[in-house]
Amino acid sequence: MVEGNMQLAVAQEGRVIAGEFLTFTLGGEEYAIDILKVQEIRGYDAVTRIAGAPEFIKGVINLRGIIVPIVDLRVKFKAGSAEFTPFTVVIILNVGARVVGVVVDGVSDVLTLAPEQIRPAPEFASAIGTEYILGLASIAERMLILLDIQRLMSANEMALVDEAIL
Amino acid sequence: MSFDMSQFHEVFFEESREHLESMEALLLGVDVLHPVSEDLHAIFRAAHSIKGSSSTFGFTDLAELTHVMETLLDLVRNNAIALTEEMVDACLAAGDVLRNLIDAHQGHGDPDHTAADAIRVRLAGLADNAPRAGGAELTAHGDSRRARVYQLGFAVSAGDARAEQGVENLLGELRELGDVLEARAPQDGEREWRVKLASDVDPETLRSVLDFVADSASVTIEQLSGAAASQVSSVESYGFFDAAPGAPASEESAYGFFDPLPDAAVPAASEPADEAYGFFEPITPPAAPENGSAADGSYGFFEPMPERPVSELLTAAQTAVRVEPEAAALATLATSNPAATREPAARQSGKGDSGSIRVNIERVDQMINLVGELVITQAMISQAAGALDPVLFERLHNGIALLERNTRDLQESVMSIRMLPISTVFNRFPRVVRDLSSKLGKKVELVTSGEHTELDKGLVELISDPLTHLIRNSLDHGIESPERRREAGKSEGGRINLRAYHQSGNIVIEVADDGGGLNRNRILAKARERGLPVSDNMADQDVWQLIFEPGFSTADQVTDVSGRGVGMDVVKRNISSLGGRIELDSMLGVGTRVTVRLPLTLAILDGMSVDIAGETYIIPLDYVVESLQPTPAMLKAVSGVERLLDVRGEYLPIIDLHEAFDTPGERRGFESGIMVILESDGTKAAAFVDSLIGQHQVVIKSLEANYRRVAGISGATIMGDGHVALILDPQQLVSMARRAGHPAD
Repeated sequence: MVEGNMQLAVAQEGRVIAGEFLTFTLGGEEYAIDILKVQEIRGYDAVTRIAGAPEFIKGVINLRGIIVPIVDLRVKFKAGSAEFTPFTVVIILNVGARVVGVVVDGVSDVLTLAPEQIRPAPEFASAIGTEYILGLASIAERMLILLDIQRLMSANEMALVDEAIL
Repeated sequence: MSFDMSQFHEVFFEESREHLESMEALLLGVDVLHPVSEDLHAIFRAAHSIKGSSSTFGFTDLAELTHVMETLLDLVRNNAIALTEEMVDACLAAGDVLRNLIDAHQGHGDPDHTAADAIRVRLAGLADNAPRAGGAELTAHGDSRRARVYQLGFAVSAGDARAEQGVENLLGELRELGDVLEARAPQDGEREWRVKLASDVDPETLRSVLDFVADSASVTIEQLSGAAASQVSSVESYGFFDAAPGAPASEESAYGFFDPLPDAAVPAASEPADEAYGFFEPITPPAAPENGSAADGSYGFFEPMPERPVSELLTAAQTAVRVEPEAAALATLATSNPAATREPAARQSGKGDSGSIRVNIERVDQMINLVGELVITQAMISQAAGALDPVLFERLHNGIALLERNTRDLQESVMSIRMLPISTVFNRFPRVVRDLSSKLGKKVELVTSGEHTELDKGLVELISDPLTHLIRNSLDHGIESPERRREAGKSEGGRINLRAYHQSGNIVIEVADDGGGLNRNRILAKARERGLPVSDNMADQDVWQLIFEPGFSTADQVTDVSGRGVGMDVVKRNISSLGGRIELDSMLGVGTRVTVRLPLTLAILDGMSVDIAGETYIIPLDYVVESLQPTPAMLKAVSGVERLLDVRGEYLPIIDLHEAFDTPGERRGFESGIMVILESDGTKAAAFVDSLIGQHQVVIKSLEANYRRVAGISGATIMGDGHVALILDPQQLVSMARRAGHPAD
């Protein structure tokens, strides 16, 4: 029953999710997000810590005059070590009307995925709720996890948004 | 008129709204029994302007309604009929209908044609049935303002229905200016209209009137007779740009404003009672009658006005100031005339049509943003240069100091563009109070003060809804019914005071009523009913805060005005989203006062930067009383924890900002750092920081735009080195200290 629902969901969303994706790595895992949500990619800079924020929110930075919160996805997804190397990058995302930066281990490339390349994700327990995974795509030996980044970033558990606004 | 007019529609809508607004303000202010004729004229002009432009733009529904309104107002202003309360009501209602129509034309909502028809009938009925007053004066409308006779010719695009309407309006306009002696429609084969006009306006004015409707190229203006050609009446009036014919010298000479009138003057004014120069407003130039006993020399500058016949003028001579209040009041700029300058100038203020331009607010905002960036850059340069040797780089330092001052000046002047007087908000409340008090059967007087207090345009727009709500609340719940008031030994009429003023970088708006006040016990009972945690010994202040809880209402009955409990929480939320605070004082039986405090602007703040465990925070300077290094003797422990600071005998709670912001690293002893004494709403607290860094003017950036509200933080800013620093919210910190809590609680 659950399986059937999932397939239906993907069938409905398949059209929406196909397109160009930006892939990035978190530890050994590869993720992909809709490229239209990406504003820019920049190096990791010093952030200003915010008191009382969850551990995965590193703080805020000044992005040409606007204050942008930075989320460390490695901490959130418990993937890879949260160390900062010269390759550590911040992907600045435009989700809804908001600008958010996410820290990832590295950006790999931009791929075009056809609907048939995308498989529904099975139900499984992970640090990321499956509702934020649009599907899985396999390119040769690699498995890409397609993230619904907009949904993830506006989720309550990300603590990026005031609850009153939701 | 063949080109596309739609590009001007926005301007038309905006202007019409302004006219409606000023008309409404005047209608509300007018004393029905003793209307000031200047006000009546202004009301008429507002209606007339809307009518004129709406028919030009082809909004016939607007034009039709304003036409009826104008007819009524014209009768009133000419003293043909007496102003009644009913007319004021009808005109106000018509204003509402017009607003609805304008909205509909702009694509918001549907036009309410039934209402428009109804109000039109109502206005027309008033105009027809009203008792005629001062019939003699009506005849005054007429003869003597034709210093010159013009032959006008102009053409309009043929066969255009709108053009025909335009011509009709134009003729109406010309009748305003003078007497149309002859108006000949285009004959076969030609397109030209021929109009013979007797008027004392200058040709330029005529041309501008004609150009508005006719094809500019076709306009011809021929002056058939000059200023002296006034054979029509015994009274002469003087055109403004033209030299007046020599008149018998009088004791008091008057001078025209741009051009001296040769030998000028009030002819044979042996007893000049008063002279006045109208500048922008049309005034009556009654000049001097031949018998020489008069009086009131006025020069119409831009628009002539009907004159009164000699018979009436004799009366006018005795009571010149009363009869011609508009002329007297306008006589402000004629400095060469001491008689004129001694007249009160007050009424002129606020009406001065000084040079202003309409600028899209986005452009202004863009400018403000750029200046904000400039301030940051300037701070960055200052900081970088601070490391350089002040002797070797003296000139650089001087230049930077200059740059700093100029940047600040620039910033201030740019910010002031956005500043509007709060009267733009207050002006709507007399209407609200008037309508509501009659609906509720209460007598309420609204007293406003501090209307000239300026605040940011953005705030003006956002504050108006919460304020309206507060006023409605005061009216509905605050002020009691006349019977109840009488029983309580108060005057029957309630009073709402609306006050605005500046206080230490904030704008404070108070809404105070002398009504029944909040009932503490009822609020507590209601709160218990709703399961809120309350106790009988709560401080009054805390009890009042309960009414800001969502869904909280103690109203006995739900009226359509208020009482559904939707409201105060929304008001509070709106105001805090503007960075403001709301406070409430109340005394049972005496009244309630709601105080709203708002930051002056949304963008700039004077702040003190402090270091807390290596992190930089900004404390708004307005809240800082003093800073001091505590000695062990000043620190007082309560139950083993140092929680109080003894400042000259005053015990202040200590807010350890390290704890509040959960900074990494070891805690330091209080003696090793600095205590910053903060004061908010009369409550003081000592904030513990490691060291003070300096004072800056910072540009406030929203943290909530991309993130969310953080306890104890009101926003963020960008420091000279490009880093983000968080701005503390002292008010919140102080109230947290009172509860001895942790910001995360």
